[in-house]
Amino acid sequence: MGATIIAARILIRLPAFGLVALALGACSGVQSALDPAGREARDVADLFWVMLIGAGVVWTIVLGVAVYATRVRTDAHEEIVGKRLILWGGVVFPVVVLAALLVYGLRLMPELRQPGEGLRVDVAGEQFWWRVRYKPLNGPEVVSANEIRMPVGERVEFALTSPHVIHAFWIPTLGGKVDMIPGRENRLVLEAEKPGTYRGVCAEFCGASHALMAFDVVVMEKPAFDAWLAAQAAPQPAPTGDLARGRDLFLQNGCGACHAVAGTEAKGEVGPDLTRFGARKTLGAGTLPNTADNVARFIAETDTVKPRVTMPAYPALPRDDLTAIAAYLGSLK
Amino acid sequence: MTDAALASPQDDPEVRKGQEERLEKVWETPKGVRYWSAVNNSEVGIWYTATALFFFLFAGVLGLLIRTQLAVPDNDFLSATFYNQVFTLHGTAMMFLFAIPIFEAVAILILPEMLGARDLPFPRLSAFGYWSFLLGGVFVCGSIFFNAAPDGGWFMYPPLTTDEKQTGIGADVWLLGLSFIEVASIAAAVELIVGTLKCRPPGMRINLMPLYAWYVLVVAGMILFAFPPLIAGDILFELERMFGWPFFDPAKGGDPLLWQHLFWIFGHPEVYIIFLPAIALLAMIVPTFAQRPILGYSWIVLAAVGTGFLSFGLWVHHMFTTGLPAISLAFFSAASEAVAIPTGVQIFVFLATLLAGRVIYSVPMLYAVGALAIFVFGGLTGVMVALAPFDWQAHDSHFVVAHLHYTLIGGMFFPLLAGIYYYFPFVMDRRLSDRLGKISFWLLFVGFNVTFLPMHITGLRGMPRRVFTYAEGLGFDTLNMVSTVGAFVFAAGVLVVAWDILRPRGKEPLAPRNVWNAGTLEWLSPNPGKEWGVRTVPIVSTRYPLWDQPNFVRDYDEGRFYLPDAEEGKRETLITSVLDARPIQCLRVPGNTFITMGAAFLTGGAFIAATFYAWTLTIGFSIAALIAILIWLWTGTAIIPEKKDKDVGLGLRLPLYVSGPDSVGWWAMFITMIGDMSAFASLIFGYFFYWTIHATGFPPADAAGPGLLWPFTALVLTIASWGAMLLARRANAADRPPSLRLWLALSVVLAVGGGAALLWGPHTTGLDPTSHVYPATVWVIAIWTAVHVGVGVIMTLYCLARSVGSKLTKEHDIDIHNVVLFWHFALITMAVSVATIALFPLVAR
Amino acid sequence: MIASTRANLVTLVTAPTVWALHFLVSYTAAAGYCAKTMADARVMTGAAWPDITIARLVILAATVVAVAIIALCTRQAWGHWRSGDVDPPFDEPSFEGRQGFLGFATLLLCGLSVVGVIFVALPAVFIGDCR
Repeated sequence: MGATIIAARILIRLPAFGLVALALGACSGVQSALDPAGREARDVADLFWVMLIGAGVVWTIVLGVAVYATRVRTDAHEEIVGKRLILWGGVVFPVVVLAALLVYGLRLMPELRQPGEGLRVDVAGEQFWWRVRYKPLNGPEVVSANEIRMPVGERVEFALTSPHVIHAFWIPTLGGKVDMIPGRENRLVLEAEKPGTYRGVCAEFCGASHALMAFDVVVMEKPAFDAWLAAQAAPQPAPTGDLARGRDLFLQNGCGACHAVAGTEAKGEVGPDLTRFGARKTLGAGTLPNTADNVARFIAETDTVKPRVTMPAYPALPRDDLTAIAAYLGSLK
Repeated sequence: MTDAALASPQDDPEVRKGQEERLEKVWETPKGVRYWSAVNNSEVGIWYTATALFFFLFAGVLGLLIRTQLAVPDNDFLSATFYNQVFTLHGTAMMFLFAIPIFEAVAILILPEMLGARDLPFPRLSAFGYWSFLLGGVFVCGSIFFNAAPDGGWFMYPPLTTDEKQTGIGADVWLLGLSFIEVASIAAAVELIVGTLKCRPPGMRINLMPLYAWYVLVVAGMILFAFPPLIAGDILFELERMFGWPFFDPAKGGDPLLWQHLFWIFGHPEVYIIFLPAIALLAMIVPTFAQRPILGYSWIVLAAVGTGFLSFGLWVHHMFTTGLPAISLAFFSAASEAVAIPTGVQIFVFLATLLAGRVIYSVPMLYAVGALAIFVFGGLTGVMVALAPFDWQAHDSHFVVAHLHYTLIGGMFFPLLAGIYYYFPFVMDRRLSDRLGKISFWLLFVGFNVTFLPMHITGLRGMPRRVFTYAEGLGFDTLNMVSTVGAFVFAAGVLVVAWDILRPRGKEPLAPRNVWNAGTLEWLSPNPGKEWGVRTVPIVSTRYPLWDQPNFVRDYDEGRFYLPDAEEGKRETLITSVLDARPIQCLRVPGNTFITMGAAFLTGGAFIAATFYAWTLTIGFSIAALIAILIWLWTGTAIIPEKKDKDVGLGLRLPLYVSGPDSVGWWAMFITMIGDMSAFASLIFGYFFYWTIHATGFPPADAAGPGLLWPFTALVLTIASWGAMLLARRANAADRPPSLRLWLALSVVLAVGGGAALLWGPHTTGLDPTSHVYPATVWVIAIWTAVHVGVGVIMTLYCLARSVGSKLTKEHDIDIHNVVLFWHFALITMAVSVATIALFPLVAR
Repeated sequence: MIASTRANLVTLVTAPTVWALHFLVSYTAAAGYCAKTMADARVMTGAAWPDITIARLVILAATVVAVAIIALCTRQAWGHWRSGDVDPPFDEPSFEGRQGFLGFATLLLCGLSVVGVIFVALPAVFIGDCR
């Protein structure tokens, strides 16, 4: 094999493959940090692209020197060439570049942690789901789970806690993650820039079903969001017909011991609040699409769908009852 | 010396033959079952290396299981709970059972001959470390076959792992199994520091030391400060798991973040503890294949020492997302950027050396350049994640998985393979195949990049780490499949290397002597090598004696340097001074024994029994282990020689017995106690950490604290006990055995009183360690200190017994010097303890 | 600061030790202050973050002291390096060779340490509260 061929091969392989893959993959992703929809995420994505280009240049030069030194030239160079290389390439250049990068990063840090503007959302990491509490400046508190809605263009402040084990709250399209640590309350401020539906996940290993702990993020225009929030506090119409049967089964089977549905006897706080369950896109904290079939399956074989989940499975429930409960839950919007 | 050699007895071939026969007999490797009693560095080094490589293969299979599970979305190849055991054990085994031990293994294997020494100063300690490592490793890995492996991640974050309903015995297996191995690692570090500083050949001043030895020195030093915080953390952790002391339970004032601090104070230096020894191999390989001395020797020393220091200012960059204030994180961003500077210098020194030399291309060089390509990439992504804002996105995503594999495989695994191809002829007398080497390189290089390059994108697209599955259609599907394919290509490369190492080589010729035309001492021996290690301990006056010193190989072969003989039938090596390597002692190193294996297995038994909460068994094993260690010390250390000094050759007479700061044992004690102090400092750090996180509640208003009376009684008694030890040492120097024994006995009585008084304080004020973190912290500091006083008592009694047994006398006083040294540190421990638990509450309120 | 006419392993590591102490002081000052002021009142949402001027002054003072000590180290190392009157690569088997090597390596470590100290002081320039 010729030296130049090997040189070319080594030089081309990594950056070329990387850049192509990135270019192909940088668009489309409800969960992608490379496809930012929020101010914090955009700042970080910009930082990443700058660093990536810099890194590509440095890597190419270093490997170029290595390949040149080992494969291309035949004569030994003067020692002074090597000494200059150590001084300029190994010391001066890195010190200058790293200092500049550090200053860039240090200036960004307080920027990304500016205080919020009004709406506060308390999120608690449970095993393995998210307890959500909206606390608007004016208006009543709203309880929800496994879904976060926020207005576009407003710095929303999240207060992050956890009662049992450590989780991390991460919406890649909007910004960086922050851990939820028992005994501490962490703050995170995110400002969405584009309306749309995104996906957040738990990023800190939290037990058996860590992989099945996600949530939907719905970014709405400000008026739509305000209207939605106001509507959450309004009572729901009582179910009728089959749906009423579903509600009765829901209550008879003791679901209300753990779950709450506003306006009924179900006031449990162990599991997710189901008052507006039907309006959510997914169930089981982003595990399955929210369809009646999936709801029935989740109730019957909870532990199979989501290992080591707290909720017991109800395999003995008749198919009919499951369908009725699922229909009832689906109607809660 | 060539002048002196004119009339040398070495001129006579018959004399030389006799010497060689005696040396061969003394250093002979035992046969049959007794083979396993060997303690010589060449046997222990090979076992160590082979075992670490075996654990690498095991952990590699676990890695393949992970990749298989993640090949397609919603896969059910592994269950969630088993997957969690698999990834936990993959990380744990790769780090604790492969990456760190392989450093110790390779250093034990090659360092003595690189320094022209017959062995390291404490061969039995190496053997003890090896057997501990083997037992601990098998215990930890074996747990997965009983579905009982740790499953809380290799970082073991509480409260998930302190909750016994969520993590069963696996967490105990991790904590106790690895604590046991960490102790062995510290033992190896002590051995290697003393070896590097005191076992260099005459003339090898500090500026002539091979670069590998510089790295060993730095890395072993780092182990002394990095591992003890983890051991301290393990102690707190087990106390919470076993007895409910709430160190990490916020409901009782604890904080899970303390574990994260202690773990990463270990965990980040550990990355450099892994990386530097592998780079050290490159620092030997590059000059050999450039056929010139390293260009920028001082720069490498700068890089190694600088990295060693800076690596202790990085730990919080693993905690960037814990919500700590930006200012706290920013210091670690700064230090994480700064550490790239010495790392860069290191790489540019290699490049400069290659530029200024005529490079011979070969398989080790191929791996070296491959390492560079991968490591530089990983280093650059490291510079990225060092910036907290970027890390907030990348942290705990597959981007970090990619980054860490680039740094560890590029910075450790590829250099290690370069080292294996380079050093194989040194160890096994034959070369590995060039053809298989090239095949394996390209499989590994391509497989690696196909696996991990796409993972950067997978991570930035939002895929978290440590997930057993992922949903379809989020942009992860293709990338994961590509990674899995790459992982199997990589595995094929590993198999090729394994085959090359293990394949039968019946008729293959031996490699020629100094096969790569290297310049350093380890290549002196002819093939096949002899069990004595070095024929004679050479005199060195250059960095590359094989290149630069005339007639060096001939003089060596003819035994024209020091210690060419073993007249008394004892294993011997030279001890020299730290900076200038002046000969100061002929050290008799102990020979083969089963006692170290027994001591290791009994100690391991105590740890394993504790895992099952089998307390009687634990205590039984502990006592048996203590007895075994005492027998080992009694029979194998501070042995009184049959004469005062001996002629080591070239007309030089050296003492056979030295004590105090001249002796290797004193250094070992000193270095061990430095490590011990850093564990203690971690506990004290814990106390003040709790103070900072509570505005007023530490100590809680209603807690009495240990009071002043008993802690101060303890301090006074300990000072008195320490004073009695000083007087005992003086009585011994004045050759008055009765008063020596009297002072020793008095010291024991006072020390027992001191230890008991310290424990009596919190007991009498009714501090309940399970009620709140404050009493728990006071208790743990008091117990730690009392245990040290207790160990001091055992040592003092040992001195008493040695004196009665006439093994401790005026001329032969190693024991008393080392024990007094221990007491200095025990006194510091006691003083700091008392100041913290008794005095600080007065200020804090 | 270990003043010595002869370079040894202690003079070699003085400058990086100063870096480590500076790091420890800076981190403890800022992190300790923020932890203590925000402790037990952890519900910070909505409230402003405590100002850290005191910690910044401590860091400034520590930086001045650290740079000064490293400057002294540098001067001493320069003396060691030059006294031997030997040139790189300092591989002579003599006291001068050893002295020159240790002096030069110490000089390099002083340079790295001073860059490290400045890097670690930079956060205090850009961040003014406990956010």
